[in-house]
Order: sequence, then structure tokens, then C-alpha cells
Amino acid sequence: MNHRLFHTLVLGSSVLLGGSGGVACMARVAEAAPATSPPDEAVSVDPPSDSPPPSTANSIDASAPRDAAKDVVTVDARACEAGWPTTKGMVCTSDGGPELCCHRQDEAPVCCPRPAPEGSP
Amino acid sequence: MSCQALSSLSANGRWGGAMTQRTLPPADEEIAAMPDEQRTVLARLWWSQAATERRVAQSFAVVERALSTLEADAGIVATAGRAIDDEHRHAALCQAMASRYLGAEAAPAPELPFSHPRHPAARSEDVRAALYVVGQCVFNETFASAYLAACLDAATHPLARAALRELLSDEIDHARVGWAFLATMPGALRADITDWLLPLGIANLREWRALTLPAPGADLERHGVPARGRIEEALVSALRGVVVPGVAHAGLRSAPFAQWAENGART
Repeated sequence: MNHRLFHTLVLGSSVLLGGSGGVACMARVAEAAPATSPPDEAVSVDPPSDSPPPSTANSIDASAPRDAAKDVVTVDARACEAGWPTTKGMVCTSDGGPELCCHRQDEAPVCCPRPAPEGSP
Repeated sequence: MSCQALSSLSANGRWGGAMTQRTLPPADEEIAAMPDEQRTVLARLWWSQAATERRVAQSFAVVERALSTLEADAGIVATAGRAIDDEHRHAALCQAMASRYLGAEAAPAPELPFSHPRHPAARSEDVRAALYVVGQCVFNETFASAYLAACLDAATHPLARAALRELLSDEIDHARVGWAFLATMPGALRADITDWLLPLGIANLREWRALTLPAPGADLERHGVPARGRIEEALVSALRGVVVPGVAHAGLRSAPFAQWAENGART
């Protein structure tokens, strides 16, 4: 797999197992964007023998037409839930120009006060 | 929403109570020479991120409980627990960056309301707990890593690069919590989680796309604010190049999920 984060995140996740909380710092790995990628053979797509195919009531047949995802976007209530809150800073555009925004999951974005210096009016 | 002082950092945290691994480089003279409007936009972005980072500490409290409930590997649970403190450090770092760009101590970032997906359609409490881990760590933190990597790629200013590198190094560990969990997940949960991949992907990618950033100029890119197109490209690339092959690597095969990603990942 050629994406630089595949190796770092997926294959590199094994460092967490059995230990007390991972490695100290992976900045160099991410910063350097590994020049070499693991061979494709390292990324198996074969499921383990104990991995049954999806078959729950909400499941979508893997052999379904190619627009099955479209149906999920529009009719599957599970896809209509909000996702997990993100850590991205935001600026919304309002009538008064760009404003800092805080995303509230069940509502439209809410604009926050400006980061005025502490103690200022 | 309220504004409160940021939580103090734990001495048991990643850097023994320090906000960052390395001291942020001085750059105040250069920042002071920037146009006020540009400094203000950057201060707002970092201040906003201080608020969102602190909120995600609560997400990891949920994830840690979920992993404990599922009796996940001790190393995974410990990393998730440490992530709570990581997010508070991130909040402090972002607050400090806002002050650097503002040229004065910024008021404490607001405490945002917190809620997270509840997955009422989950077939059992164990499935729901696993969905929490997969949604927050496999999806959200992988997208966060891709987003920060794009910001770091764009940034050339030493202060912005230093701050982004600190954030990214932790987010990598946070995403690994999810990937390590998937690799060790009990077989009984695999069919359910596979079935949820597509809705989880849609819901979490939608969150990242919902957020807006100012139309950047070259100067903002230098400070780690890439163009919207570059962010979208980073997110979709991570979906196709990390998440889709990653879940397959863990033995979860969902053709609709892979097709959705390949066909534009509409949300």
C-alpha cells in the first residue's frame, strides 16, 4: 500500500500491543513520510478464518449494485448520525466577515466570541 | 457555552506534565511584522482548535471505558487513557499558539458542548463499545492524522511546523489505538463492525467536510492552513489509501464501503 500513513498507522499499531502505552514519539515517522512502502503482499485482503461475512439485519449485500452506497447515504439511519467531534479549528463566514466557529453536532455551526486578550472588555 | 481555564496537565502524561516534547521556537518578531488581519485569522484558528482539542479529551474518556469493557489489550487501553491527557496538552498548545499570533495572552478558549454518536442500532453493548473505538480511532483519528499531515506539508514557518509536528505525533498513536483494536477484535464482533463500516465512514467524513476554513492565501499556507482542496484531497486519500486497505488488512471486507470510497465518498 502506497499511502505514507498506512504503514505508520495500520502496520505500526502493533507497537501498542501488550505494552504500557505505545512509543514515545512518532513525529519523525510522520514528518519524513516513509520513502519506502511495505510490499503489497504485506497487506492481506484475505479475512481470517474466524471472520464471517456481514449478515446482520442492516447489512448491505456485498454483491449489491454499485450504487448501494448512495442508498446508505440517503436511507440508512446509521449514516445520518453525527460523527465524532473533530479537532479542527474553524472559521465560519458570517455577515460580519469571518468568525470563529464551534461545531455543534445537532445544530448549525455556532459562532464563538473572538479570542480577545485576557482582561480586555 | 462557557469559557474556563484549561485543565492542568498530568505529571503522568506523555511528557511528564510538559505541554510539548520540545520547546516551541521563538518567532515573535516575524509574527509581529505580519499584517494584523492575518495574525487575527491565525489566532482565531488556533484558539478554536484549543476548544475542539479539549472537547476530544472527553471522546477518549468514552473510548477508554469502551476498551475496558471489551477487555482489550492492556497496551491499547493504556494508550487510550493517555490520549485524554494528550488532548488537554493539545488544547494548551493551541491556546499558546493563539496567544503567539495574537501578540498577547488570549482569553481561555470556550468549553464546547460534548456529544458523541450513540449508535442506537447497535445489536449489543459490546458492538456499541466497539463502534465507539472504531468510529473515534480508526476513522476520526486517521482523518485527523491526514489533516495534520496536510497542514504540516503546507507549513514552512518554523513555529507552525513545530506545533503541528507535536500534534501529529500524538494523533498517530491515537489512530493506532483503533487499528490495534481492529487487529485484535474478538471474532464475534467482526460481522457487525464490517456491516457498520460504510455508515461510520459517511458520518465521520461528513464531520470533517462540514468544517470551513478561510480561503487561504500563500501566507496562511506557510502557517499551516492549506487550501480546502488540499484538505479534501488528504481526507479522501486517507480513506482510500489507509482506511479501506486497513480494514481489509484486519480481515473486515465490505465491498459497499470500498465502492463508496472509490466512487467519491459522497456524504
